[in-house]
Amino acid sequence: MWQRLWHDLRHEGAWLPLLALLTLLLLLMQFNADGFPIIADLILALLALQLSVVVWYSSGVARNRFLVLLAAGSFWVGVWYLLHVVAELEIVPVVAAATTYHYGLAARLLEALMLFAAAWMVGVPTSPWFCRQRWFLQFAAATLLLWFAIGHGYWPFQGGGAVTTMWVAESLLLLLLLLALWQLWQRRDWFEHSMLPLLLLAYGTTALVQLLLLLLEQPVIPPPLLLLKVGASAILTLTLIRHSLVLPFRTLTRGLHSYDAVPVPTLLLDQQGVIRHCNGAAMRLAGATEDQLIGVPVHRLFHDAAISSHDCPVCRAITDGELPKVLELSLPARQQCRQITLTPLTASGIPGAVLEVSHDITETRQAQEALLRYRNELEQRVAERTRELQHTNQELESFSYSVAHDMRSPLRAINGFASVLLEDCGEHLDPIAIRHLERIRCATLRMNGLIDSMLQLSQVMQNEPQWQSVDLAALATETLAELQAAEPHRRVELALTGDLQTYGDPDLLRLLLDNLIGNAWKFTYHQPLAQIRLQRAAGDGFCLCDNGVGFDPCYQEKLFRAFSRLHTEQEFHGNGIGLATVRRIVQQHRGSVWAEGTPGRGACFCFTLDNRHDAVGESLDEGSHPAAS
Amino acid sequence: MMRLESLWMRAVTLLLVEDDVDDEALMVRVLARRQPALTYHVARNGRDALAYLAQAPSPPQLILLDLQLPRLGGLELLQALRLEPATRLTPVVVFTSSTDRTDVVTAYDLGANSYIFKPVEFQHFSSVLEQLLNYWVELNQPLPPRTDHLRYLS
Repeated sequence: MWQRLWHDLRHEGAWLPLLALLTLLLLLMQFNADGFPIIADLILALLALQLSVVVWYSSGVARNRFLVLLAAGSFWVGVWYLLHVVAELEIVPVVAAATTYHYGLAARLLEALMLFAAAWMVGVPTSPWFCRQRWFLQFAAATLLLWFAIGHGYWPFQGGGAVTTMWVAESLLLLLLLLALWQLWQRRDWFEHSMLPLLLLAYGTTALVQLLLLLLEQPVIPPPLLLLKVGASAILTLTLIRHSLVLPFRTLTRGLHSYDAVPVPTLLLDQQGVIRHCNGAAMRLAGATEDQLIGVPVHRLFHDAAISSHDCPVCRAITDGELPKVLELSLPARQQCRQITLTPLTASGIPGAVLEVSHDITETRQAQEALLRYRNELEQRVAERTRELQHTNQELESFSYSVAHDMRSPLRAINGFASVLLEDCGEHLDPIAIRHLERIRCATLRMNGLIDSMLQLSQVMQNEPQWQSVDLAALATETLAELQAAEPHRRVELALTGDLQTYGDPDLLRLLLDNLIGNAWKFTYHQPLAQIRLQRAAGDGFCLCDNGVGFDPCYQEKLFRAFSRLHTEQEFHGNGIGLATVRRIVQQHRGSVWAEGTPGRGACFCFTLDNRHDAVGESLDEGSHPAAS
Repeated sequence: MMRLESLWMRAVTLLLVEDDVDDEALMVRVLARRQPALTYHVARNGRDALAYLAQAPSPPQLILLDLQLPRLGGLELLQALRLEPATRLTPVVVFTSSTDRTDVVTAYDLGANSYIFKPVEFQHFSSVLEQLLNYWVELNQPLPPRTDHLRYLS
């Protein structure tokens, strides 16, 4: 307890003015012993009045019963000490010089009463009756009573300083002070630990002075005792000032000091943007001490002297009252970008106070800028690659175009000259040569078909589907009608079941059905009655089934590969590109295709198309492809 | 079959623009068999064709145009023909192996009168050629002589 108190006192420097005061008085006592009592009484009066005023106006938070009593009483104690001084100086006729001793006695009596009452009343249950005004009036009444008694002869200690009455009076006073000290000890639990020793010291010193006074039996208090008394008074005053002002204020500002632990620079600003408090992080950031920052307009922290507070966005936000606000301040001088949060504080005690919290967002900003830069670079690179790809695609396109054109010309020549040979020299050739020429012509036609299919496949790959509503039933009927027209002798039945309405590219779906129905037509050649069925499969798929020759399921994977065939050219015509084209078309429609079959029992080719377009409906007929949801 | 040299500087009915000698031979055979009276000139590329037309006393009744030509391509030639007042209205039939949609659209856009695919199979080839000559040379009313139609247009 004592160590803590000693630490606090030393830290606060409260002992310094006390020590200075006592030293001054000691010097005065040495050099002018006659004038010393008056000075000491004056100081006692001043201390009492100061105690009264300070404690009276101390915050309601810190005020307790003890302080209320001291505030009310010490005013009148001060008044009595003043009266004593006035009496000694003999400057006011009303206050007779003869009663000097009695004024001093009355002052000490009132003081002892006050000390006792304050210590005694601490533990008494609260009542609204004990307000400071009422106490003040009570002490005033006591003062008047004493004044009246002294002035009109009712003072029991009258007698011009007779030893007996004086001894009785001083003994009474000592008793009162000892009682006060005892009461204080009794009530020690009601006091703060750092306050109680000082109070005990003050009370004890006062009682000690009284005891010595009693033992010395002198009508005038000797200077050393007076000095001791001033010391006791000063300790009491300082203690109460400390507890009614310093400590409550420290408690109040503890909230601000807790910002010191926060690693983020934080400032408390008033409504003009002047710094009223700063934490350690803010000091480190500014490279300044607390003394250098407090009272400085905040824009000085961010800008050089050339910029006024009007041009500072932080100051503008505060003076315009646009709070709370989050600002971004770029500080080129510091190569920093800071995010500043301004929050109005209503309970800080400073009118219009604003809490300013500053975050270094330089790295965040740099990262964002870098990200933006990378994104742009990436976009550029993607655009470049796309251009390159488009270029390559165009090259491929023109390549396949050239191949088709250039391959057709020699084919036409082979076919043409073989025909010319047959026409011109047919009668001179033997039948074997004629057959060979015929085979040449057939081979060219087959190759021509191959070129057609390859071109078709490459065109499917190049074009994006144009989404529309498509009736597969109508397409299938048309395809079959064309096949039937080419081979009227075949007996083929086409069955259409289920909802065959869908969305897709009509040209591509036409090509798909051409290939699938063409295959079915081809592979049902041996059936007396070929049956082809296009039906809606479970879910959103479609199946085209036939009763043709079917296929071995182990070749399922090979079916859709380009140029792969399961049958020889002699068995069935074909070039192995048809199903590759089918798969490509289905992929273009973001669907899948698969085949089921058993040798001799027909085959089923099923495919799905992207059904997301169904829900959107006819609005997609423009051909625009919506972004995937 | 007429010699090319003998036709130089003479007005002809048909201008063949064809770089492939085999195709040319086959076409000439069909012409000789089916339309022996027809006069024609063969240009190997676009530049030759333009050079011939610049010297010819009057434009031909029909120009048969292949698209893939060396030096000046078929479509460029077509564009040049349409810009030239003398051949602006001369019927041009594109006769080519190309089935490319872009080629078809561009050809029509540049003012081709017809676009006909050159079949690979010889019977088909000769019948197509015969039919198109029948139509454009026999049936189709040719443009009046140059001075007449220029006057009419102005």
